[in-house]
Amino acid sequence: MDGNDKIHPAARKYWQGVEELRNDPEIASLRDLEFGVPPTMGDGSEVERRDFLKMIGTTFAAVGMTAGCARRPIEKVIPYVNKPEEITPGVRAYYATINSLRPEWGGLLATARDGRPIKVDGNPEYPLSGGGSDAQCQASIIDLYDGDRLRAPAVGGQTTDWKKLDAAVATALAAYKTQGKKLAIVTPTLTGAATKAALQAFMSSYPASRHVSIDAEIGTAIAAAHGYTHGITRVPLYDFHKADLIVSFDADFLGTWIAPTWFSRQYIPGRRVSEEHPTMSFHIQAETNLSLTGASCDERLRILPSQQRDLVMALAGSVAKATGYAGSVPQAKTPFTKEVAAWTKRLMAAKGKGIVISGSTDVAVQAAINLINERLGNYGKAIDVDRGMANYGDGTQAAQLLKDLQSGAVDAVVLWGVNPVYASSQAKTWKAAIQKAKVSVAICDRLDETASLCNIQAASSHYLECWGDAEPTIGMASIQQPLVRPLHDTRGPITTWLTWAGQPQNEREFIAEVWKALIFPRQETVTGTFQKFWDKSLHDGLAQLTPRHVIVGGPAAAPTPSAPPPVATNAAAAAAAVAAPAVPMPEAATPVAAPIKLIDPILAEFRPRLATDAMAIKPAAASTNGAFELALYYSVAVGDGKQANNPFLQELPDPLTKCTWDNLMLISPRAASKAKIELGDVVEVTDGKTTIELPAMLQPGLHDQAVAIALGYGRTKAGRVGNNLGADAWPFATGGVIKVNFKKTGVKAKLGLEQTHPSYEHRNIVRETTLAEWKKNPKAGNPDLEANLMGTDKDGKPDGLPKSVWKPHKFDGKYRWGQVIDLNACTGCGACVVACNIENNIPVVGRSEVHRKRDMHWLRIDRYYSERPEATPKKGDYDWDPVEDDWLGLADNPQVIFQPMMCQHCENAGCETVCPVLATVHTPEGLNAMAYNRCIGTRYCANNCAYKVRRFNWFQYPQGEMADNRDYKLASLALNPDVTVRSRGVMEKCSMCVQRIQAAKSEILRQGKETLKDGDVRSACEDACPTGGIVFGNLNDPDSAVNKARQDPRSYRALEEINTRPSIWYQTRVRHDWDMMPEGGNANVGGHGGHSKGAHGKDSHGKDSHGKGSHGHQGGDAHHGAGHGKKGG
Amino acid sequence: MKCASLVVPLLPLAVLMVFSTGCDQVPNQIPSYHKGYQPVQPINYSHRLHAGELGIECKYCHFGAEKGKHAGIPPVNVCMNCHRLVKPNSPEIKKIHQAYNSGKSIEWIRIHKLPDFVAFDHSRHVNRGVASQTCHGQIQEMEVVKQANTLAMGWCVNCHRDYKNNPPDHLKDKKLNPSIDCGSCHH
Repeated sequence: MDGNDKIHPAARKYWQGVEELRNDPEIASLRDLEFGVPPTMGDGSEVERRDFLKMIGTTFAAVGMTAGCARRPIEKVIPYVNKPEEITPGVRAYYATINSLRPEWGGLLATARDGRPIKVDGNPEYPLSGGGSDAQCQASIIDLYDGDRLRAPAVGGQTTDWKKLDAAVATALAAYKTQGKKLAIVTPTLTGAATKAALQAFMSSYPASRHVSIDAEIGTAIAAAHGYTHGITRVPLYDFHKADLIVSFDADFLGTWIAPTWFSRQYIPGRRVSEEHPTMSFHIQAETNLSLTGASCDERLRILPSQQRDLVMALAGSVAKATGYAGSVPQAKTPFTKEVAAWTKRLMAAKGKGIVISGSTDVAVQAAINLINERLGNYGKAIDVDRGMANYGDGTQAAQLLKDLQSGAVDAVVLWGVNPVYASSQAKTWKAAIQKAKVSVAICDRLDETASLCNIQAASSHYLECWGDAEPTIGMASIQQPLVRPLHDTRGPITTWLTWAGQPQNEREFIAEVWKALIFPRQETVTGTFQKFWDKSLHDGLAQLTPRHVIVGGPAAAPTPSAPPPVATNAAAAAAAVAAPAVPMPEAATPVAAPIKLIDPILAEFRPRLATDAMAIKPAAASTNGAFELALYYSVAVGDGKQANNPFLQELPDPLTKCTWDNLMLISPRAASKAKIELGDVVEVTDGKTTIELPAMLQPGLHDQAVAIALGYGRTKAGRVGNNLGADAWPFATGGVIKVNFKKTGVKAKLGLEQTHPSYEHRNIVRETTLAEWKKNPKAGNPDLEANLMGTDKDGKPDGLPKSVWKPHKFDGKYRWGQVIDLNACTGCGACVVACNIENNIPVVGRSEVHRKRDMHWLRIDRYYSERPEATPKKGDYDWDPVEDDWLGLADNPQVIFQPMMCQHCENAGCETVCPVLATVHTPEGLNAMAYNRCIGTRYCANNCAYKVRRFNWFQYPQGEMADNRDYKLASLALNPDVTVRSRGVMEKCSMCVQRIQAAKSEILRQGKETLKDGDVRSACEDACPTGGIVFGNLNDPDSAVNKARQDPRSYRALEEINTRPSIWYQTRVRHDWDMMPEGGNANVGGHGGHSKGAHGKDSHGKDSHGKGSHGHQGGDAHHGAGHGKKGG
Repeated sequence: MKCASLVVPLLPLAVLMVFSTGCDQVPNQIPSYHKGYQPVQPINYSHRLHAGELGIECKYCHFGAEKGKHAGIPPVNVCMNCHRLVKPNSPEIKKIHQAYNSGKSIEWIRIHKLPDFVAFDHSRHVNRGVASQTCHGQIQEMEVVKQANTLAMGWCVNCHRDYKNNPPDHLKDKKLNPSIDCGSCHH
């Protein structure tokens, strides 16, 4: 019925959302209006003709005034008195650093220009991230310039200076030096040796103090389970690259689970196919809501939160039986017996090459997961508990502290980097407990929900303003190196701890001392002095330590603050835990001068008896008061809400819902159809105790008996941007299964859903095939639709040039820029989108403007759904004209495909043809250039763009017109000085980072080279991508990675049939063969056949493909440049 | 009536345009092209003496010119390299000493300024061998610096275009291909 049939004989349908699947009239209307809604005045009213003329008049008058008085104001140039050596005006400098409170980001590479930090990326030399990052890491530069940060210390609600604050703390805590009354320090898990030592120094002056770490509950549960099964409360290090088979129970490891950037980087090489690597890992996801990870999986089973425990236990039992396990596994009844059998078969075939994980906070479930991995021999392969991540608290200390605070046994508390009054299932208890405490001190960056309850607020610096350190995984230590002095009267936490300990010392010197004592002896890479090691570590941003542990010897060793207490909740387990050989941990201790002994690690061993005990731990009580189960999840953009005041994250669409600035109650289309709920209907959700109101959205892939709500919203004290966006779902959290009811309020809410802003009118812009098809024919699913679009000379013979009404471009110079994006490598995480926003000074337009479809993202990630093999109606049957509820079957459990979409830099660009003033023209280097100062804002170009990637400045967004009321003067410090800030009335779009191309050309000239090679210039999106899915480079260079990639048979150009000839290629998505998937009907209920060919287990990944798999990270060295160097104190 | 609504708001524009031409302080120039602009600087510094007579290399003070976008105004410590000893008692040099000792820098008046939507890279030109004088005029003869050229786009583009037919002597052998793409300067 449309052009798709030609491209996809199987006529797979791709739909942008339920609205398109149903062919809603609103979607149809999108085709008529490029900008969705007609132009409006500031207050949202439509513009009348007379108003328009009035506006025109004043605009001209304003132009007349400014152009008239031409003598520009006198501008002064004020040079340095003494120029710092590392700063040359206009020259960028790169510094390796890390965020000590977000070790899961890994090492970072921060860019400073003229002494001002303007960009943060992953450190390309950091092995786990390989230079990749996530959206939150990218956006963290904006937090530095957040106007709502605390700008000075405060005591009793009054702003004060540090001297007075330190005195106030000393007075308040004086009683705790001697008395039996106890002081507690609450932080997230600390990983850096010096960071821990600073805290230890403070604690040693308060002998009765204790340190409690609270973390994301998932980390706590995994650590606690390993406390039972392996005798060490630690989150292990996972390596998805080593896994041929991945089974995940509700763990969103590509989006929000533990360290998604690392996991994405490990996972994707196993999902990309090439001649050298013709296999793919198999990924099974059992989950309630459709997560980012579920969107990438091969087999997806919809389960209810309440079904996970039994399913995991049943699988554990089945694997135990298959492997002849002597220990006992609890009996479990699950409706998914067929899946359990099929997965066991698969797992057994992939012994030692699998990974099984869970997102459950139920320790018993995690223990069962450990048992499965242990029996399959996955420990020591894809899961490494010896070289794991930090030693987490196991949750028992936090629970005990809450009790003690309530009872008054502890009545003084110091909090740093945590916000339990908001982000905790016990938020209310925490609130009461902190209010009850006599002394409450917060080391905080803002007056958040927790800090605002405290008596004393020690304003803490941003991580780019102060020194610190971290050890994200054991044996990989990094220094947090500041790029700038604190913008406000704030102080680094290490200084704060040391001052309060009565040992004030320079942060950097203190860290160097601790490193000399505790880190230097653990490394074997640098021979020579400590100074040499320190300089190298600071420069590289990483010190790789030998896998040996350190014990601080001598009786002087202070009690380790976070030494794990017996983990078990029952006596037998506790006794056994003590008896079991404990693995020595590299805990930091204060007495820096104490003698140090190195010992080789004792490997953690599986302990069957304790595993049995752990699996018997009863789950938290389930609430029964409701018809629907509630799945709480973190949105990939806003996460746990720590960075809720960051407008770049609020405006980043959630990868699946594509919603900005709000959280929603997600409901499956089937359930919504039954409950007569439509998109945007505000519903009242209640569990009997708490009631919140949220707009509803139909989410394909969600379980029919569950609803899902994102945490991280509804903050009340995040700041001017993040307050009161969405609703806070934390009060529902109990740790157990949650049941809720909902009812319609009759109110309709406006939503900023970016996916349905443009329309492709059902044109298939994504291409995919299956592994078997691809093996038969590498061009499978990728027909050449451009072949007949080549022109002929006057004799009718092909002239090798594309058909065009204009003289074709020759691109015969040195460069022609282009990109290749592998659809197999895109997880949809959105890191590139934020990186692009920050690199290119793309404004945040605010909630109301997104509602008017005026988002400015140059690069967006389109999300399409398509049917699964088991869906009904069968492929090809559906014709966009919904008959009754026919479409519901397609939306039950769809497949998802992501496609980054930006300006395609077409050779035959629609926009260039219609611009009346030649503001957008093609350059000889193949870029579709945009001269902002020439643009008069007709918007014809956007109308004529086939890809819907042009963005119009309806207002003076960079100055804050129309958007939120944040501090724009401060925020403007984050602007990239190399990119023009666009003003009202101007069109803009992706420039393929032309400023970086130009800067690189100047740079190689300085180095005496003539031609740019791969790695000399990288686009911002390419830099950010954790999976190396974007390759940018010179198409005219036969050796460039981009040139090789575009000649891959999988490469195609979007909508190539319309002869636009883009400079961006995509590579066909290859999925597992449909006959690898379980057959049968709706995967929601048990009883359908699942079969495994078992062939997959035979495939093995080439060991050496790890580095090669992602071309994106090869240019790391050059990127570092000369400026990436150490920075003195 | 319909016509009136269009004309009335435009009236102030016409009035302003009449006034505007008289506003420019630089005579005989198109407004906003500041050729000839020669403000009085806080220190009576002579390029004729330093660059001309003494022959100090431009890049000694404007060291940024070969490193990055901005040539830069020399920081006070660069002046002090010589003037710690040279003529320390001259009233003008005393201003440098005062700035250096007080830590309060000298506030020079900016002469050459391109609009914010233009990206000009000094290093690109300097490292290609384009002489300072090409854009800044015979600076070694100027007692007080003045803007020698319009620095307007047409002026830039002419040079870039002329290179092929009429390259300056010292750049003849380099076979350059100076760009006239919009995107080279406007991004």
